[in-house]
Amino acid sequence: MSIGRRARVRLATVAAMRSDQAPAPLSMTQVLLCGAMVVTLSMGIRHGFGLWLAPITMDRGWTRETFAFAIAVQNIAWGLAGPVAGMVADRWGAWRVLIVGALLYAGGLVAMALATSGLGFTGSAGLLIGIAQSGTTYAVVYGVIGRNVAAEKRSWAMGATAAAGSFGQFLMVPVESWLIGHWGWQNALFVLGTLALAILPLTFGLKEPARPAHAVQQSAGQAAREAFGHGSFRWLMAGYFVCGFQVVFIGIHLPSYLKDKGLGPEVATTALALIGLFNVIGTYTVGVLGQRLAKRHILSAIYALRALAIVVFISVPLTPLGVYVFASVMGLLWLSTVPPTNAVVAQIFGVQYLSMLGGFVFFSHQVGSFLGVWLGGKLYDATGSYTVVWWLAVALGVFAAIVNQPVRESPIARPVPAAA
Amino acid sequence: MPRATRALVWAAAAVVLATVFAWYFDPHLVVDLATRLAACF
Repeated sequence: MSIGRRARVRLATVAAMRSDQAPAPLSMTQVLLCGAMVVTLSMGIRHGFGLWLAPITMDRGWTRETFAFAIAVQNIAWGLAGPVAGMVADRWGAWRVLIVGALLYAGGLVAMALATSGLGFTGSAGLLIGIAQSGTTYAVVYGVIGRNVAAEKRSWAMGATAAAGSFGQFLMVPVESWLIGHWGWQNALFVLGTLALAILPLTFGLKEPARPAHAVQQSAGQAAREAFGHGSFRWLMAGYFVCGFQVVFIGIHLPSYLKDKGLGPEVATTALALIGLFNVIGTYTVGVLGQRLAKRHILSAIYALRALAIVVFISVPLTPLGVYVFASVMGLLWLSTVPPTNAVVAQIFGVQYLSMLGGFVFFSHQVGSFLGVWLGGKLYDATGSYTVVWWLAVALGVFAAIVNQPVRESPIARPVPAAA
Repeated sequence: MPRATRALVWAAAAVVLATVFAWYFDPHLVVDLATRLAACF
């Protein structure tokens, strides 16, 4: 055999071996940078929507209920579309879902600016943007991180990405306030629509190579059945429900609670700014801690500390300083549940359907969010105070601290198919 | 990552967070800072 022919045969053998192996992962730096920027934009844009309540309802002559209903629909649509977006991302590529999500986000923001009826507003600000969020936020990005970052660095990587999303939320409130003040509420939404399109080029940094057919071990249905049949998955969903309840109740109702107690609006502004600031620090720190400690202990500690912080907050006399301490502590614990919850799902079930399973867990979070904001208002109207809801948040915190303890973090044992 | 670079990244992150935090209380802060910076060149 000539040297040239021998070399060709060797190259062909290497190529055949490579095609049989799993494709090379993307670079961690590339995945983290692009993933972090995507969630900074997607989480940030939506975070300041409350700032549009007054100008839109005044301009269009709508009630606050019209606006609030659209935002409630947005949260539920985000939760419902999450598992579907996750499944499509896991099966056909996160980058495709991110592209559709970014286009829907931009279209939803423009339609939100142009909507002249309550139905149109619910369809755009609620349905379109809710679906867009399911395709551009944590669950989809975490799937790419899970498949491309080594297991020993996964919790840190998820923490860093969650911190980026938290930073987006922290940053965009003053940015959006400035945009509305200087350019008007409608132009501000057009600017945000353009900003959402910035997700498009970032998706190519998250484009994973196609997996060979034999690398697909389960169907999406099998993966979902396996997860729902596993006790740890159900416990994680129960815990995440509490996270949604507490965070949204406090985020939405805290300013009114402080006002009822005679504190000025500047105290509420400072409290929300402190929550935003400490949220960035908390999510990153928890991601780092997840590399060293059992994640179920971290999750239990977060929920227990939230319950303790609320008990102290509602039991001691209310002062601005007390509010700031409470806001700082709650900020540290705010989205810090996101990295360990998703990292445990990856640890138990693997990363093949991480986005879809993350979407299911997040659905539970969104149901909790909906109940947190709705029950907050309902029980306030029924009892004339937030006391019952605060104690409900405490009880749920204790419940979540307990239910995370039986979570088994070891990978699930799957039957190995017998060799032919 | 070298220790000096790491320290620089953390310092930059702290400055960014502090600036955004201050922006909540002074809405014109960042625009003012950007204008002053632009005037330097």
